[in-house]
Amino acid sequence: MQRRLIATLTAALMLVVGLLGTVSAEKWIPVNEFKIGKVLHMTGDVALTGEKQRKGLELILDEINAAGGIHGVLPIKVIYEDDMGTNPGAIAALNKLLYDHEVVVTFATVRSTMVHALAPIIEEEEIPAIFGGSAWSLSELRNPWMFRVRCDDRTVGAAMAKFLVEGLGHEKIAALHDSDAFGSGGYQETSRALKELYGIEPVTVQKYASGTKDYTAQWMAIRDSGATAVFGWGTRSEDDGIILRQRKELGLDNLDLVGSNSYSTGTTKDIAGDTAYGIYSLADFTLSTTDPYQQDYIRRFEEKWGEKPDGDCTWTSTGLLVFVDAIERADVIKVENGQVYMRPLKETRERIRDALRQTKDLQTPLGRANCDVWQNMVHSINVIQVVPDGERFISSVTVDFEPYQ
Amino acid sequence: MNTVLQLVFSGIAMGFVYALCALGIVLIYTSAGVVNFAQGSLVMLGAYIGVTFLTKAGLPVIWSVIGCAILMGFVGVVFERIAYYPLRDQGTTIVIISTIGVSVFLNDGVYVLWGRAPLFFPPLLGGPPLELLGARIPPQNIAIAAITMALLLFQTIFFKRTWLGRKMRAVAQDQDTAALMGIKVPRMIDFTFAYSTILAAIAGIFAAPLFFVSPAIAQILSKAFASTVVGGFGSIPGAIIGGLCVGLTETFAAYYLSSAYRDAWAFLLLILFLLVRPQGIFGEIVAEKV
Repeated sequence: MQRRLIATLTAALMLVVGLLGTVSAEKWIPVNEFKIGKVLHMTGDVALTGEKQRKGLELILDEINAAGGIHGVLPIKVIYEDDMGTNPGAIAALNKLLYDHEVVVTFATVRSTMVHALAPIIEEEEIPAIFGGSAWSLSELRNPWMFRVRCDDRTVGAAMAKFLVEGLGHEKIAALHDSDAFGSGGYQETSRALKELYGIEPVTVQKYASGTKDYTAQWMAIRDSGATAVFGWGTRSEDDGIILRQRKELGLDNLDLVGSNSYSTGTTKDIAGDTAYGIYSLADFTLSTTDPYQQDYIRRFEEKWGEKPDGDCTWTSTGLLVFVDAIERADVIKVENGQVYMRPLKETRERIRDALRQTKDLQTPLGRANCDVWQNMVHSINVIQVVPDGERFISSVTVDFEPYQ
Repeated sequence: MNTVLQLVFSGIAMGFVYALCALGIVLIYTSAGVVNFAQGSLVMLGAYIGVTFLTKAGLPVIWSVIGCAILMGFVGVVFERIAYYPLRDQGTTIVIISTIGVSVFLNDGVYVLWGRAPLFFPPLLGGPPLELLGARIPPQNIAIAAITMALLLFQTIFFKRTWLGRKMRAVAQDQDTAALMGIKVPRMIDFTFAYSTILAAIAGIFAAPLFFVSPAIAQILSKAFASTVVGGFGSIPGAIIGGLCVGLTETFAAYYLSSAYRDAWAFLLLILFLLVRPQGIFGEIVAEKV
């Protein structure tokens, strides 16, 4: 009797386990492509930077898809939605990617103020998102689904302060910054570093709204403050180009200017022309790099697009490489009988998030990607000078970081 | 002292750009009775066409300006025939919505024709800035002031001394009476739209070297609108003075009060005028008749 009971229970248990196994196997979803979203500036007055982001992304996308896609079996499809360069536009774009296209993971944008607008949706929808905005305030959100693939402002601010004081020997320093989240955050980080490291406070702080066309008042205030150097945090390359031209027109090009990455983008240089020569910039990426991997990236980019890459291009290239590396480590794809399957969406996203956190020593156009406790991937920045034939590499600063685990 | 002077010159230069755009708004408002919300976009289109003639076609500056003005004159007539004339009996609101539609179409349309990269527009007058009492004035800014004043003079003579100008003024004052006097009202409105669009083209060509050519130029509309209100809606001298007031206010307030709220100061001026003197500097109080 007891033997029959044990046998019956064993058989029942095996049936349950077998059924569970069948259910688990059925959870895998057949897929023909892996959908990645990209909130992109396609129209509006920052559309040019959006175009560069697209080119950076598609360079890597086409190379990966030419090799078969993820694990060589699943092509990637990137779906773009236009953010029109505005916060409401970015929110609408992300909602379309989530609900109309059901993308698995997504890129947010490079503008910190827009990333702030997207952050609550990313957290609520639990979708892994890579972004390029560098404002430190984004790290302080502690959003478990957001990963940054550019150097954060705290690092850049410290490097900027160090270069102004130790590299150029200035003590009377003025600040000029965009009043949005990125510009204000960057200004605060540089000011904090100047104060903490050298006991220096800016002699004047001049702000402007994005899209301002006349900076005479700001430049006059800087001149009258007695500053010998200016540090600038600009969000839009278009604004930085005008700032540099008016600096020259007002005869203030004798002031050393050390600017954020946007001061050395191709767009800024196009607009500023020779008035950009001599300024310094803290750049994620420099064409004057001596790193063989980055030199090869520049060559491949030029071959594909007939132009040189800049900081707007490299963060999306880096982001896609980081995503693909994580997706391939996350064990979310399998092939059975020639059909590719993906785990259920929620589980796939969770596994990719966990894999992103384990990113280690991945080679990218922005250096080695390592995920730290703040979910920042990039930890080095270049100091460059804009010169007539391009850029002059001054130094590279890599900061210590605490790995995710 | 030279800081104040520098701010004055900068404010005047910006003010004249606003004034050129505001002049077009005033002309259409007085002749057709509607506020043209596409005027900023027409300024932008003028800048794009101007940069094409100057840098792509390689025409000399003077021919680029003349060519752009002629082409934009035709654009003005087409704009009037599409966005105003068929809707003129539907009420002012419908026409205003129509002009907003044209504005959106133009702002996005330039991406198709000229791409997304901002275009650099070389200064129409080169050379080093002029030094005056320690202030530096770019030749471009002097050209803007000179051309605006010349246009104002031309406009005054044109409207007061020529048959065409008088007919356009008659239509602006009372279309029905003008028609009874044998004036072809639709033709005169055509001329008004063409002329205001030429003004937009000139504003675009002169604004472009200060900014660069991109759809962002169209944002000038808000400042031009503030200029017309400050100067007195419908007043041609008011558009000029209003533009200068707005330009100087935002420049001085940015220096002495806060640079972050530069645009806010201009609109604060607008609000102050609406509260204290809603008819503007040159406007007259119109009594409502029962």
